[in-house]
Amino acid sequence: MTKRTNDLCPVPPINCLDAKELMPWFVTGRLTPEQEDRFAAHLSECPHCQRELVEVLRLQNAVSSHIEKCPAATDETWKKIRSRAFAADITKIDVGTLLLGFQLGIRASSKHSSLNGSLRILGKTYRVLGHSGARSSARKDRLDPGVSIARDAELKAEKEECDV
Amino acid sequence: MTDAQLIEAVATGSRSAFRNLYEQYADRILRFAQTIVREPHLAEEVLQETMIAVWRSAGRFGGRSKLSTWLLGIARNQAHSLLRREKRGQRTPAQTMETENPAPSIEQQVVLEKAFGALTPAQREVLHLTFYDHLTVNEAASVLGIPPGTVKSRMYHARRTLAKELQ
Repeated sequence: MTKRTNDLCPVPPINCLDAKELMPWFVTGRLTPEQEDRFAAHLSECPHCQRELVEVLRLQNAVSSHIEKCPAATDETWKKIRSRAFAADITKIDVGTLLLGFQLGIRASSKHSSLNGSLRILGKTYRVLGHSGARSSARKDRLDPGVSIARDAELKAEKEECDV
Repeated sequence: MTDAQLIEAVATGSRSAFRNLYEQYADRILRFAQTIVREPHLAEEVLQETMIAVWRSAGRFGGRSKLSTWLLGIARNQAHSLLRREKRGQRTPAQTMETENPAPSIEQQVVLEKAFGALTPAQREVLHLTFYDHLTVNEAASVLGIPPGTVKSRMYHARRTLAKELQ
């Protein structure tokens, strides 16, 4: 024997307390479809929550416009980040060929090193190798000086890329 | 390029991908930091530290959450670390930040600024993530490292306080 309550009321009701909690996410459209249905069903019959929803909309608008007036990130900040991030690199090598579709990247800095490999097949990139970890500062002295040529060429290319 | 491809490229050391990531997310990170630390020069420092952390540990992004949620979580950690340093007296010297959008002088903005300042950092965070970044309850919970139920109750008290301040 099937329960007929589900036929009569497919959306279980919620009370005012639940509705008040969900209001901020209703005004930003971030409720699940089920939550939205339940909220809308309650709202259509609750004048108190209708009034409160207007208040939440007003707050959302005020908060959003206030935050929007904060300064945006500047190019100056990017330059500081770039010099800090890229100057810290001791060496970075990218080995690979587009024909074979395999690329290997090694990056080392005074605090960190990483080894990454990816395989590109039919336009999709698959990560096949990945390792990162902290390194001691003493290790940087043992790096192979031969990599500096590759590093210098790459740094020059990337500087041009970043300066665009 | 999708977010997953973008962070994957950053993890392999692509500087142009890192630049793209900055262009896409810097404003959101800076404004979230500003909401927490309330000082433009400190917010800029949080943005820098967040981006450096991302450059060094992009490979740790597991893809379990959205990239934006992951970035905002890192920014939040950096902002709170900075606030703890500030409390211990290791103050970052203030620098004059040139901005394209000077502080609005209209009375409404002054009232809003004062009301926003009256909230706790935890209340400002949840208002910011919900009303400005439009995160879901679960996404906000992920950024803040708290249960979804706490996000709802924190939001409830935050908007009560803000409404009272704005009266």
